[in-house]
Amino acid sequence: MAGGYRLLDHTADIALAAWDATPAGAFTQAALGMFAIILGTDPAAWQGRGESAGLDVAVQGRSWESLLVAWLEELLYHFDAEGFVAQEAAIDTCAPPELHARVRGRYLADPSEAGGVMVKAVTYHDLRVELGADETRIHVVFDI
Amino acid sequence: MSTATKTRDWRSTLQRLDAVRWELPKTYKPDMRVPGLIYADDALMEVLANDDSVEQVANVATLPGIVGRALAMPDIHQGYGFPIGGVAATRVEDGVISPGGVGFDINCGVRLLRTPLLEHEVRPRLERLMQQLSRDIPAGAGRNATPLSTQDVEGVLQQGAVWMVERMGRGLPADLEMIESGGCLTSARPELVSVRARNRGLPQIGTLGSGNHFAEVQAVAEVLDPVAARAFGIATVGQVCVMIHTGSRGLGHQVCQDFLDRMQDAMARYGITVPDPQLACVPVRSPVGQEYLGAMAAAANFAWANRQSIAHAVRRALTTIFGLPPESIAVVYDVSHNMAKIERHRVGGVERELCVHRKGATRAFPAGHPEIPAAYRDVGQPVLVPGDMGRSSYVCVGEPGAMQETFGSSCHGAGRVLSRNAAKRLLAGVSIAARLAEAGIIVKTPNRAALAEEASEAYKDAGHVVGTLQTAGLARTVVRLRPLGVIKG
Repeated sequence: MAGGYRLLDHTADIALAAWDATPAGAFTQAALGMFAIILGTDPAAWQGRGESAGLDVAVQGRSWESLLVAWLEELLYHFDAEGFVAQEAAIDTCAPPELHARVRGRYLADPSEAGGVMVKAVTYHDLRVELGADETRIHVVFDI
Repeated sequence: MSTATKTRDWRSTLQRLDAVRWELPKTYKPDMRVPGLIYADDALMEVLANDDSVEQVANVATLPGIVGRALAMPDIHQGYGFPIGGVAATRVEDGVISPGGVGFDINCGVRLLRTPLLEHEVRPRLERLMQQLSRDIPAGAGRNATPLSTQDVEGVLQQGAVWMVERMGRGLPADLEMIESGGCLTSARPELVSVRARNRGLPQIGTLGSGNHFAEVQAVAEVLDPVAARAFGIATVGQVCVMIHTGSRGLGHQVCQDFLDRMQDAMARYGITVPDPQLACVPVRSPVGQEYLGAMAAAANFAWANRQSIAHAVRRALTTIFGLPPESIAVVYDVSHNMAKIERHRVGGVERELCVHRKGATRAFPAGHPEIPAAYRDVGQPVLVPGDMGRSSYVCVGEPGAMQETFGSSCHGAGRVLSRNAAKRLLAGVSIAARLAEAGIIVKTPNRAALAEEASEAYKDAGHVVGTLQTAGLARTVVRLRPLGVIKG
């Protein structure tokens, strides 16, 4: 089963569904979805002109939900503070209490390259990480 | 993770009290400690049926120590946890503080500047003005050209707009009196703002962000209360003003997230459970509660410094292009609409110290209140109500009814009715920029494609919202403003 993400309707904010066969895959799709909101386009297809870079990420979370929030918030922090846009991720550990990943992407060369909506935060509202035998499904709402 | 599940259809339980008041009885949901009260006319009530905001009002009513009612302003719409347009007051003595009742964007708010110019004087150079503003006020992912020094970050966290004016020279001393709380909460504790929050905030001071944030050049379209309008200095039809809507940027977002995480851990210690994790809370008097209030105040100061910095850029552009003396561009007022404030209010005939959460709601104090600037004390506190970018915004004034019923609170804006996706679908193929241009409105944005998400169809009519406020006796409409040019994120 292929992984993916989809932006969902929400009155004032944006919700995201993400899925893949494994938790690591679904967490990756959720990250791509978050950057799709910011860029206005799929991050894998985004043509950024800035310097490419790698980022090592290590976060903690006692539950699947808090681990997901920690993962996405970490990427959001690097975007806000440094202009780093994540385009692909290799997550080698993805289970409470830890997540380790190597993320590749680019720094924004110019603010206008981010053609979507800025994400203020990852919320706990309606947050779901559903683990199945063949599939992990995620639902998360972002404050914009 | 839990969601806000509906226990039963609120439509059958809601009791209409009068033309603009609806009560949600405590019996609607088992853990409600107080009823809910929703201010809405018939048109606004119909829109309420489309999302979960009423359920969220019921959830807020479960907060420990809540007094009076869980309130919903006429612009209410679904948030995450707290509805947007919600007011909840808890007893300081034994009630809770909930960061979700403030929002991620701590001290998101609105500032209104007035000028001595009339529309016909501005029109010939409006394009030039909008270009200058779009250069000087970064929006979207834009960062400031010169980030704050570490010393100045400390300064704005401690002293907000006061630091901006007195130490960085970005503004006039007269600005400060016209800002809610003087643009600085002295309860701020910058040492509680994390390094992460500072790193996010440093490059973002003086910037708008995106979503529904904006800087808008407006003209007075209608004067509805000439006495109040004269007190506020905006009594001339055609008079040009500038409205700024933004908040504490990444710094505030990080502070909120930091404390939500801590509170989720701490709640169990106090035996508190909430129907939605975004309602995470602890007693006001607990160490974490007090630390949140200190960090929140620092983030609030950052937001006032941000609006001050943007106002400075507006003043500079206007003085350069129109040759005005700087002091002729004055702050009418600056209000917060995401904040928790410790205030004294009468509840059941007894004066109590309360923690008033206003989430997408604005303080609205009436005439005579000591916290209102001296020049406005006979009239009341200005309440700034931005409309969507194609339609009118309003300046209102607080009425005694607000102190009696809503802990001195009113609405904050038009309130969304459509999701971003729904708005984009509805307006596929429509050039919003062209539509605005036809109405004589210039829009500058780094992201034309996203304009549909902010189009008028996505919002309630602010006129309805302020009309409801007026009928309810919470705030009186003073002036209607219409857009001439918009900088959008």
